[in-house]
Amino acid sequence: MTETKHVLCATCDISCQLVATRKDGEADYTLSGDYDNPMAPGAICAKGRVAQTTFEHPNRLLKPLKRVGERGEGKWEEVTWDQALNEIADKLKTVVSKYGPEALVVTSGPWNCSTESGMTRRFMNLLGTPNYLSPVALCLGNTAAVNRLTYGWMPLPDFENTKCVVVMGHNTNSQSWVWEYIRLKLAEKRGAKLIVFDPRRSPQAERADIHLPVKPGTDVAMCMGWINVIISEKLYDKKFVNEWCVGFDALKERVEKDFSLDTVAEITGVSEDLIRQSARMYAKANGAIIPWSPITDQHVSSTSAIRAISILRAITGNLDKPGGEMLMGSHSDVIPESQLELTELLSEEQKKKQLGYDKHPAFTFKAADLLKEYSEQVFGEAYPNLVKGTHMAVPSPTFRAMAYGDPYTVKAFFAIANNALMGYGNQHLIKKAMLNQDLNVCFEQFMTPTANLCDYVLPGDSWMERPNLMDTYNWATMMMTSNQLYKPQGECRNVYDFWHGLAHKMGLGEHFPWKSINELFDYRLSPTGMKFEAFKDQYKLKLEDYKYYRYRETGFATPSGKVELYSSVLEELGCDPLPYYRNIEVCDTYPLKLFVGLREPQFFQAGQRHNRVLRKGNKFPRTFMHANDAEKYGLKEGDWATVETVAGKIHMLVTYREEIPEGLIRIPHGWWLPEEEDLGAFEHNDGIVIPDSDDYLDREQGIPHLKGVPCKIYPRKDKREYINMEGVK
Amino acid sequence: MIEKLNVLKAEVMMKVAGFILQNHDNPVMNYVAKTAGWLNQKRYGNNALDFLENEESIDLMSDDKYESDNKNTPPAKRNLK
Repeated sequence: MTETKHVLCATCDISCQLVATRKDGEADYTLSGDYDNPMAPGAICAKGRVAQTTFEHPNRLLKPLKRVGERGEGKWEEVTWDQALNEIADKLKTVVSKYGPEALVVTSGPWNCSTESGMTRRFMNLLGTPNYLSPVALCLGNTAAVNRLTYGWMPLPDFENTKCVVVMGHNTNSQSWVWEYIRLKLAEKRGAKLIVFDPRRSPQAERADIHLPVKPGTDVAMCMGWINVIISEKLYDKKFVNEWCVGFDALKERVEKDFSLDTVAEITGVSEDLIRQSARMYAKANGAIIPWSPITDQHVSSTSAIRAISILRAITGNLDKPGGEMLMGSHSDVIPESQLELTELLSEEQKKKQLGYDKHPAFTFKAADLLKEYSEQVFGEAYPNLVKGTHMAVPSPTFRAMAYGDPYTVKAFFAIANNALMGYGNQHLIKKAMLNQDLNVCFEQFMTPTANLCDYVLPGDSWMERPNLMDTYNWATMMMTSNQLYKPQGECRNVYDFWHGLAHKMGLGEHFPWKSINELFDYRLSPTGMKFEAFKDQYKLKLEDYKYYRYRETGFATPSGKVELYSSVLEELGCDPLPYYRNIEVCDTYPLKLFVGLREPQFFQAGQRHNRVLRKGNKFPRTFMHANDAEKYGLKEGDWATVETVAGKIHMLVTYREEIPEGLIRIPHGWWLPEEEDLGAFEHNDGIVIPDSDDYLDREQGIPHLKGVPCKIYPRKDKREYINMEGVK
Repeated sequence: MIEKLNVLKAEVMMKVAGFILQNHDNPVMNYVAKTAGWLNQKRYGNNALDFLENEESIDLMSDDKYESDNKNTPPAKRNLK
């Protein structure tokens, strides 16, 4: 007899649906992809397959810890949950009474604590702090916020019916973005065309119908070049533009003035002919998609790039069209996180204190408040927190406030399932910020570099140890469920238990009435009249009936009710209402460019480095570079190299890759070495070399540039002995 | 007319996907759902997901076969629920 359960993987941000099976007498489940899932059959990667070895590991934190040495010294004593929560509550009360509620900053990794159900923001809103941070500020969340400026929601690509897919450089494969990879490959099998923007010849680029080898950070220029072609050759959807768009003439003027094809060819390094061919292929497809990509989330001109993509979707008539981009809203069967977050309790005065509010407003409350009325009219949610990213504080100003007390003092920092020290730009600043706090708290599974700088470290459960009700992060009308496979190890708890416990200690208990995550799920499903257990047994994924062209009845959730090619919100925020091009160029001191990214198959972000099974395939951080560049800078394959920018230096092993163009090197994200005494925290992480001075930040969002930072590379001078794999269990 | 047909096809496909994803109380409906799922994959030929087996990606570490390592890793002991 085989027992079978469906489970939702939360190893990364994709949420693949897996099948867990075990035979009578077996203790452990075996995980595999769900081949019955019609959307992405068989989706699973190596990280998901061996997740049990990641969590069932000697490094796993099993009890609450309280720091007894200096911060970073690694000296801890075990305490009870009750003691930890009591002391955290007392210290937080002191901070709040002395400096105000805004003196608390919380950073949260939504994928890692996928059951938090809006409870983080709920606690913060009840307390009165607007300073919520998340790594989604640099990845997906900012895309959601910027998409809202144009047409009110973040679209979901309709892979099932599409005729053309445009991928902006993230190389989906069987180990990264697997769900999307399967959807893409099936679309290709149905005959969909593939266009790939990528400076390197990735496997995806190799099989594309058209590969556009754009220079790093020039995607916005390419998109504006496409818009130029589409307008000048009258390939746009005239009816849709006439009836549903505002600002077309201003857009036309901008592309004619600043983005002539010879200019775009010069900026991007792609021939005019290829720009025309690709623009025509996209515009003429009867149903085309440009799925979200992290590439354009991480540019110095990110807002413009995301806006240009949004405009392309709109003027080609692909919004809410079969095979295009679906503006779904959230599932009506579930109480959305936005409602649970109680954002309306946060006063106008406190919202305005959100760090980054004035200087980089695109994903702060300043922009969200300009959209709330229209969002409520169209989607029934004033503050839809799409992928947890649509009204956040801005990382750089927040860490500056924490470090220097400017514009006001911040003295308490919670890192919830987020290795924040490794997750944002300018790591030196984050360290300084954390060391300047009166209270640092971490909710984690492992002793990460971030946890190591905290005063309390609380052990969190894993996705195999909790049930889940997943509403696609408030993004789409797909609701997924997950079974709990195992009991939480040791004293590991669900993130809801953390907020519930702390709220009760802080006198906010009445707002957290649910005794467990299951009770909270029951409440969220109350519109269906079903309890979570019954719902889970009936649905592994529940799709709501979807009506295309919904905007014809509701309009768009923007001030004009139309697609704003010329953004009235950006104009009101004092920003350029149309996309523009900006980049950072090399100089004599820093003659190369680095890009951060290219997901490694063994790891997701800063995770899994402790897992021997995965680490064996990728032991140390590696920079990929062309052999000619290596030779030019006195390096050869396998050497330790130092990569240096204006912000700092890190060390990597040199790996030759022919597909990387000369002049460009790749830096992997999130590297640290759990086996080392210092955790290897300050020698290898990309955040060390990512500057966050104004020149390197996107103006509207304040996020750092990760795709083309000027740098130099040379042989490493200081030699270090590493514990190596002997220390990796 | 074509637009309406495209919309109808897409909306029906989504309903079918929802039907396939549901655990039905009625065993006949479950059988129909299973069959619909099988037909969905058959649209792409006999081996719809061959690319999952055959992918040769340079991004997968070709110098160290971590996947073959994984196959030999014994499952860890753990608590039963």
